[in-house]
Parts: sequence; C-alpha cells; structure tokens
Amino acid sequence: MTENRALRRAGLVLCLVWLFFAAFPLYWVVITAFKPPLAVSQGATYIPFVDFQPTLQAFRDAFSGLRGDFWGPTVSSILIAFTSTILATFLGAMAAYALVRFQFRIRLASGLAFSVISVGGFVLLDVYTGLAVPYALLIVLVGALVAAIWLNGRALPGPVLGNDDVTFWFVSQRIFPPIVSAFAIFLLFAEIGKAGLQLLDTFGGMVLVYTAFGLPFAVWLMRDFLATVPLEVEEAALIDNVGRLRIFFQIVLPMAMPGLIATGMIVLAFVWNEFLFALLLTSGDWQTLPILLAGQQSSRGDEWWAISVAALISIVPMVIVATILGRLMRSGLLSGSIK
Amino acid sequence: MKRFLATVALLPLGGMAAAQCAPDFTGVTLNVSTQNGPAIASALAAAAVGWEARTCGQVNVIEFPFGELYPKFLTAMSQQTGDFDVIGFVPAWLPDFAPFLSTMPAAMQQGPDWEDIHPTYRERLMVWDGEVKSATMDGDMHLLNLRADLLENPEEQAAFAARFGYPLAAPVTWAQYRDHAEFFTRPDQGMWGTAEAYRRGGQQFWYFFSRAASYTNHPSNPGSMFFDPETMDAQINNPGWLRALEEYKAALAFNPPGALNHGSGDVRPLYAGGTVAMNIDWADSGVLGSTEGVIDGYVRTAMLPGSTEIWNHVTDQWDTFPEVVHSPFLAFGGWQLAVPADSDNIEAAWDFVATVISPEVSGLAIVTANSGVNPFRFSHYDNLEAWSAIFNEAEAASYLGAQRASLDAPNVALDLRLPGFFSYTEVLEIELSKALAGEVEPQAALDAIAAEWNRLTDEFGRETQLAAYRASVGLPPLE
Repeated sequence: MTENRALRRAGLVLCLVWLFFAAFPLYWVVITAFKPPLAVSQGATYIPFVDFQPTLQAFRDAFSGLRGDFWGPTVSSILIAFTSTILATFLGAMAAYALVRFQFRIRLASGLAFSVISVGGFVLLDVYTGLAVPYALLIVLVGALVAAIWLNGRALPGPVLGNDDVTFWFVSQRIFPPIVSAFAIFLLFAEIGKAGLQLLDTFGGMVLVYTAFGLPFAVWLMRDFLATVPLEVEEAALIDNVGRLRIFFQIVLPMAMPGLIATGMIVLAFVWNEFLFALLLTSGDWQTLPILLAGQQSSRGDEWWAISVAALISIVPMVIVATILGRLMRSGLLSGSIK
Repeated sequence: MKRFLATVALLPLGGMAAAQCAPDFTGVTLNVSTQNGPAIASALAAAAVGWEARTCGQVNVIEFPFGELYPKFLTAMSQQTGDFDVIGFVPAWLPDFAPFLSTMPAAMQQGPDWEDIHPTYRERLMVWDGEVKSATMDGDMHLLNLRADLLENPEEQAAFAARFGYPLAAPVTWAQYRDHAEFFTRPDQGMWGTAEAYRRGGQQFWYFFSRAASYTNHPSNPGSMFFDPETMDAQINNPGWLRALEEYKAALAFNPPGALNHGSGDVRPLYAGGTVAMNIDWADSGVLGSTEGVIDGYVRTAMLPGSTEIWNHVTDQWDTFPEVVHSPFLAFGGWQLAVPADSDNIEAAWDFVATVISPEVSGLAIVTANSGVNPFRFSHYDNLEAWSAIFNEAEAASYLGAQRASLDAPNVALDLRLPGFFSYTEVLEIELSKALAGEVEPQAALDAIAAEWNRLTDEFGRETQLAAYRASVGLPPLE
C-alpha cells in the first residue's frame, strides 16, 4: 500500500513536471503579449505587476490595423480551413471506405502508361501546337486516364498493385516537402489565370489546394477507423437490399463519426497552420493567418510582443473548436452510435 | 498616428474644391504591397488616404512577412500575374527586379520635388542601368547613437581624459569607438559600452559591412569595397576586411552578455533603456530613446567612425591619410517603391508613388512614430521644428545633422547591390557566425566567403555580374 502511494506520488510529480514544460511556453506567450518593448529586451521578466507593468498596447496595435489587417486573414483562414477540412475528410472517408471494402487491382504497366502518355503528350502539345498550358494539360490528363483505364482491363505483363499500394500512394504525396509541389501549383494557377480562370488568391483555388493537401491524411486515418466498423451490419443491410451509397451515408458514416471528428481535427490543424501554399498562392484577398503571424517579424527585428499577440489571436479559433469537439466526444454524443 | 492620418486626409481638400478627382482614377484599385506593418506599411496606408481623396481611386495595402517579400515579388513579376501595382522593397533587390519594373515617368524626374531628394538616393540608389526604376520613400544608413548624459558629465569627461589622453566626445575613429566602449563597460553598474547585432538572421552582416567600409572603401579606388571592379574578384578576405572582422568580434567584450544572440531589434531597446552607452543602428534607436526610453533628452547621434588607414587592393598595402576618412555605410539603403511593368494601372501607380514620396506626405511620415520612414530629402534635414514632438533642439540637430553628414560624405559607401544578393549574403552569414562563435579563425572564414563569392560570380556569369556591379557602384561599363 505504501509502495503504491509512493509510486502515485512519483507519478504525480512527473506529471507536474511535464505540465510545467507543456504549459510554460503558453504562459510565456501570454505574458509577452502584455509586455512593453523594454521589458522584453532587457533580460527575462516573468511576473506581471512585479517584474514589469503590463500594457495592452500590442493588442491595440494589432486590432487597430497598425500591424496588418487581422480581421481579413482570420475570416479567410476560418472559411478556407473549415471548407477544405470538411471536403478533405468527406472525400477521404469515401476513398478510405472503398479501400476497406473493395479490392483494387491496378496493373503497374497501365500506371506507367498514364505517366508516359501524360508527360509525352504534354510535351508534344506544348512544343508542336503551342496550345496554352491549361488546355494542353486538360487534354493529356483526360486522354491518359481513359487510356490507362482501358489498358488496365487488358492482360498486361508486370506486377499488379493492390489496396495497400494505393493507400501508400496517397500517403506518399505527403512524404515529399511541400515546396516540391507548391511552386508547380503556383505556376499552374498562374497559367490557368492567363486562360481566364482565376485560381490565384481566390477562395476556390485555396480550397482546392488544401483539400488535396488534407486528403492523404484523411484517407490514411479513415482507413483504419472504417476497418473497425463491423462488416456484419453492412451485410445485414445488403441482404435487405439497401444500396451501397445509402449504407455509406446512413450506416457507416454515423458509426465512424468519432473517427471523422478526430480526422477532421488533425486535417484542420494542418490546414490552419499551413504557410507555404498560403504564401505563394495568395496576395491581398485571401491571405491567411500564418502569413500575418510570420509578418510580425519585420526588417526592424523580432518584436516578440507583437508576435505573441498574433500567436494568441491565431490559436483562439482552434482552441474553441477543439474544446467544443472534445466535449462532444467526452459526452458520448458521437461515440454512442457504435455502442 | 491619428494626427498623421487626419492631416494627410485633409491635405487634398483644398484642391478638391477646384477640381475633384485630379487626375481621375475612378474605378482604379491599386494593389500596393510591402512588409507587414507598422513600419512602411502604415506610411503607405496613410498616404493612400490622401491619394484616394484626390484621385477617386482606391488603394489596397497588401502586407507580407519581410523574409518572404523577395520571392513573393520575384515570382509574381516573373510570371506576370499582375498581382501588384506598387511594390515596396529593398535597394539590394533592384538588380533582380529591374527587368520586370517600369521606368519612372519623365515628368516625375524634374522640378523642385525631384531636386529636393538627396542625390545619393536620386542619382545612385534609384537608378539601375541608367534608368530610374524606383523611388526612395525612406532614407536609411547606419548611425552611431550616443548619450549626452554620459558625454557631458564632467566626472566622466575627467576620468576619460585621464585614462586615454584625449577628451570625451563622439568617437571619430574605430579605435576611439573601442576606447569609449571599454570605458563605459561597467558590469557592476549594469552598464555596457556598446550594442551591436551579432546574430545570424539578425542583420549582423550590415554591422560588419559598416565597420569594413572604413577600412576597404578606398577613395582612390571607387567601387572596390566588395569586389575588384576590374575583375570581379571578391575582396572580402583582404586585410581591410580582416581588421574589420577582428575588431567587430573584439567588441563583443563590451556588449551586454548574450550579445551573440542579439539582432538589430535587441540593440535598439538596449540603448533606449540605458543599458549601453552607445549603439550602432539605423535611425530608429534615436527615436525610440527619445520617445519610450529612459534617456529622453540625452539622445545624441553621430556619423559612423572612420579611419586614417584604408586598404588599397591595387597596391596591396595600407594607405595612410592625414585626416580621418569617413566612409559612412548606407546599410540597407532605405525602402523603395517601384511599379511592376505587368501592372494594369502604371500611370495611377506612379501617381501614387509621387504622392508617397512628396515633400508634404513624406515630411509628415518621418516624424510619425512607427512609420519606419526616415529622412531622404533636403527639406527633411532642414526642418528641425517638425521634430519638436519627438526631440529637443539638441537631439534633433545631432540626429538630422548626422544623417545629412553621412549622405554628404565624399566617401559614402553604398550597400551591396548585385543579382543573386541572397546567395552572396547567405554564405557570408554562415561563415561570419562561425568566426564570431570562435569555431574558425577570422581569416579562414573570410577566405571561405571569398571562395564561395567567386564561385557564385562564375555561376551567375562573371561578365554579367561585373557589368551589374559596376552599374551598382556608379562606374561606367568596361571597354
């Protein structure tokens, strides 16, 4: 009994130490937001009213627009992040369901054919016809897809890829650094813009990119969640002649709701904090919060009080969302569906 | 700020009664982009209020992080997205941006407002390849900030004279600067001699350049500070640069603890808060010291120290001069505005630029806290009264006098302006940090930088870079 108590106390101490390490950065950001510049640069100060006299000046500067427009990027971030998250989670769940319930057989040769036709076709169209980039891409991608599907039905030699390979292909899109695709997407959007369809610095363009950005996470995570949904329930529905789509929307999705929420939160966190795509693909109309946050470090040096205020403003929406969803999860409202 | 906005807003009202919308830019919305505010962006926003009222156009100020401005502007202009009508940027980027910029209209390049801009900006920093491609909206240079409460203290004066054998005054050579820094380093009193930036990414290399200018910017060999203007061979590992680096590193002993992690943003409050006796900084320290600092009323500003010895790269020896040669360094060079050639509103954009840099609007911006705008016109330096809200008379006189003297100095040193600027400064910062941390010897660090600079020059094309470098330092093309 004494040994148990000692262990519990040691555990409590360890937890408190961990709590300190976890909470201290947040505490530091909060108090720095209230410090005057001289209290930041003249050695560390820790306790308001004792070490330094707190001021709301940094908040006033932020909300007056002196340090950039906070309101616009906040609204942009909320609209873009939530729309992209919902789309990515929903589409990811559909893709993951297909990967869990159906067997895919994709011939490697047809995949290679897709690559050769699309790249070669684009080069030919670009060099010999002078067709605008967006039109050339559209033609070759549709053509290559049709050809690849047709070839996949033929008895081509070589390996046949299965569901695990498809899943890995999804995840592989998140393995390489974002800069690899970010600049290419910027160029593509710029070319599409010249053809008349504006995607740079638009809501649609950003949602499109962030949906693609979040999709691999969603597919990967939802695949595991959906794999735990009992197959018997779906089989019973099939016996009752219920269609696949109805089974997915009315049976599978409600049962996988905790997974959808968890996946959505992870995708939302990634999209909310994404910087590189936002930097390259937006300018004045749809600039997001990470750009504004990074902008608080200016040519005048690190103005930590301003950076702290911007950081606090940028995490508030996420804290609210996490709190609401966390309460829903704990209350069993969402988890009740699989009881 | 409110006063500034209101004044700017009221400026055009008189004219509006006679002719509304002159010129008429109704329906035009200018996308004006620069770094996140308040510095520069707030000045543009304030100027926009007056411009909108006068022309009936609209201005949308778009802000990006300073570190991302260069790639953002370059990608947008090179892809001709037409995202920006006016860009606010740094002179060092002009060589890379120039091919994508429109030329300033001829009408803007004449008249009293044009002549009022100091020639160092008007004829050198705003010009690329013989054409005016940008307009200075902010004058910038490194200055030496001092404290009158120390310099004019009889006890300090007596002690200093007794110890060093010459009177206590603003140091005119780097040797005197070192004496001052050493004299006022008193850790037991919580005071240190000076504050300079040493942190990588904290604008350290400009502090190094400021010191090196005094030892390498030879008056008889114009444009030879960074490269040999005949061959484009890097000069950064010559004995002049070595002396600068050794002295810059030695000054760490007179900086507050942790100075290796100090950027320019840290140097400023150290001076304003009275922790150091002096610092090297742009014009911001003086204003901060007088508005928010504990040294209010005692701010004094001087031109950067000079030297009586300058390295001659042609003869490979130190040349001695009978008088101190000042080579004040125009670090950064101030913010500039330009109009991308892919803008759909070039005429309106240049009209907005003219408004921002006009004597009236810029004259208010320079005395507005946090605008980030520093004097660049003759009229700015002459109008001491405008500074009464910030400085007392002695402070204003030394603050403006030091800036004017720096620009007027016959051997003023311009910042590096070269295509691929970031490639050159990246390796510089890496090796400089190693030398300051004691990981490599100063000469080894400078040799490594020189080797990499020469390699980069070959990679970019030696002939191209040589032509660009000569243009940047105001030398004619080689025959």
